[in-house]
Amino acid sequence: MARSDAPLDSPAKHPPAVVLGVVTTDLLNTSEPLPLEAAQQALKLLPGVAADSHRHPVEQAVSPDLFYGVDCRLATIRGAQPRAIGTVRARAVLTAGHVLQGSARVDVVLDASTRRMPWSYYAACTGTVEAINKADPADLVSGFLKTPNGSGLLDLGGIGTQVMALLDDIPQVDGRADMRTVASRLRWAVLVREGVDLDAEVVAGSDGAFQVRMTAPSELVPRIVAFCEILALHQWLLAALKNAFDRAGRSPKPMDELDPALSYLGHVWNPTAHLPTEIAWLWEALEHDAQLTWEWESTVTRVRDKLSLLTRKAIEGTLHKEFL
Amino acid sequence: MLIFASSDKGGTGRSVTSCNLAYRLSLLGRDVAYLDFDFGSPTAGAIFEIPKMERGTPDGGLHSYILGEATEPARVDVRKMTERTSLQERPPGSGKLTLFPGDFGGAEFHLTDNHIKAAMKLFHDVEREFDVCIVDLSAGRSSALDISLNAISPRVRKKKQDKDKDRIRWLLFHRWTTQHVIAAGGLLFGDKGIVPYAMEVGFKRADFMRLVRTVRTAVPDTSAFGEKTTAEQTLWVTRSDDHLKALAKGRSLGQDLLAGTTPLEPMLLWREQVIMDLDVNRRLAKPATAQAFDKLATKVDDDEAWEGI
Repeated sequence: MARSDAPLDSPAKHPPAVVLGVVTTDLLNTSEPLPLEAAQQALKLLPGVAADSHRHPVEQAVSPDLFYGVDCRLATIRGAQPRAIGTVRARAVLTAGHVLQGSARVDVVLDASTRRMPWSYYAACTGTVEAINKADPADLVSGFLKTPNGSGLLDLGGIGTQVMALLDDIPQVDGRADMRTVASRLRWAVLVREGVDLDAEVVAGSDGAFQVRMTAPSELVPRIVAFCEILALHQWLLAALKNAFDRAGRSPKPMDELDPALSYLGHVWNPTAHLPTEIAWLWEALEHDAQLTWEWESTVTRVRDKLSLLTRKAIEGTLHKEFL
Repeated sequence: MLIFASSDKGGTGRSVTSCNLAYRLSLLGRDVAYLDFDFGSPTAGAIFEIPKMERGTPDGGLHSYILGEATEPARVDVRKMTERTSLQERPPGSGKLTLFPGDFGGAEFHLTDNHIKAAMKLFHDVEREFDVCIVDLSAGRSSALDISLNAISPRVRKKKQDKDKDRIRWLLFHRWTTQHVIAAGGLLFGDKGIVPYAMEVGFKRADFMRLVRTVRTAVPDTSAFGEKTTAEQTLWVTRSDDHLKALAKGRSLGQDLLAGTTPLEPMLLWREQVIMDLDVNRRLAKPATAQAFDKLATKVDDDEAWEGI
């Protein structure tokens, strides 16, 4: 029951000051990629709500949004950490039946109320947290990007991982991925300013993963989410393939490293496939500076060359044995 | 592969040998994770010489993770964070070496289903990323040990592929003295020992025994008496050694279960640390020590050698 003096107007009236997000990416733990139909089935994480999907040019299925209640602190650099309460929006994205992402984000509303409201108040506005202490939006953006985790802090990465873990126990997933991979985390934060042009900065964080800091109007947020998921996917692909190549150089069975890497990932690279047009320039700018596609192509070539050399050696070895 | 490091008592050299094993496995090209499950007194940070982590991490270590207080465990790249300059280099052909530290001021806790589930998830996650995961358990029968046995029991790992591909090793470290041999036998086979508990959580005895090997640590030879030994001392050492061998065999800890022996290393008497080949070249460490760690790493890494012990 709400108290009479509680402001019961919908929290939706307060526009977000900041939007925060984390995309976690890793290989789905299964030996063969899921066909699109199986992926759609697997990502039907809410009863009665179908997964979104497209078949071309790269198969992709996107789960419905799930919501997770939080009551936590928000990281800052300068000021005190405000307490924030509400729900986080999260979804799973499965690309090419094999690369799984947990993407979590939250709108942060400031100055709406100064005390904890009953839960129904927060539940009415999904995907939003309200800070009940004062905070500077720019400070929240910096704090979020520079503080990977800490006890009591908003843990979007953890929520993304939780969504991904929902796929571990389903029957289509056999738990036998043949490849060692490292999960990656991309953190992004938007300072919301209505009526301005999108301004963005992509930097590599201390762990090598990209971080995206933007100033943008709120209507662009869904496209920003898509961009960050695409960026996270491709940075992970590149890291995973390079890791496989590195491991092949020191493994007693190099074929066992290269073979799955190429068959799992070799065909997945296509950054502009689902890139929203409004934000395509950002990818182009990134390509200009970091040349990710060039790096991907050259790494694929290295992997293929190494595989051919190993195959030739193996054939020669067999022939040699037969002649002896 | 998961390697569990258990010991009968504190001070056996379990942690320092496990850290050295981790280091040597990384030199062999394996990606290695070191999980500090010695919740009461995490020490791996000190052995790898990582500042501010000598006694675990202040935030989100394995203890908090198992308790469900942290959604993912803290981790450190040993080569990036160690203070020891020579350890910072990653030699060509070597793999990653990552420490998952315990918590500063952690403690033992009760065994619950949630703790077991957290451990299962943890093992599952590290096995997907690393070739070898060494789990350093506290001395004796601890809740860390119980959680681990539950998390690897065939009841819960059945989803894993065929049994021969599920690579698990269980190492029991003990010093080479009468007391330690007796205590190690007790820890493994006693009424409240590891083997009876493994059977309680679903292992068949023979299947579990296939995972278990012993490591005898800090084993002295006659040189421990000093430069010159008397004939009496040499004879006494041989006799004592024979006596211990008989004792170990009588308690089913004989040669058939032996994975390796590490010599008494003066360097480790002063400071628990990683023994690098560099220390041998500088004539600080005994060549036999580095060789022993290397041999153990090679054996653990090679399925055929392991089976053939």
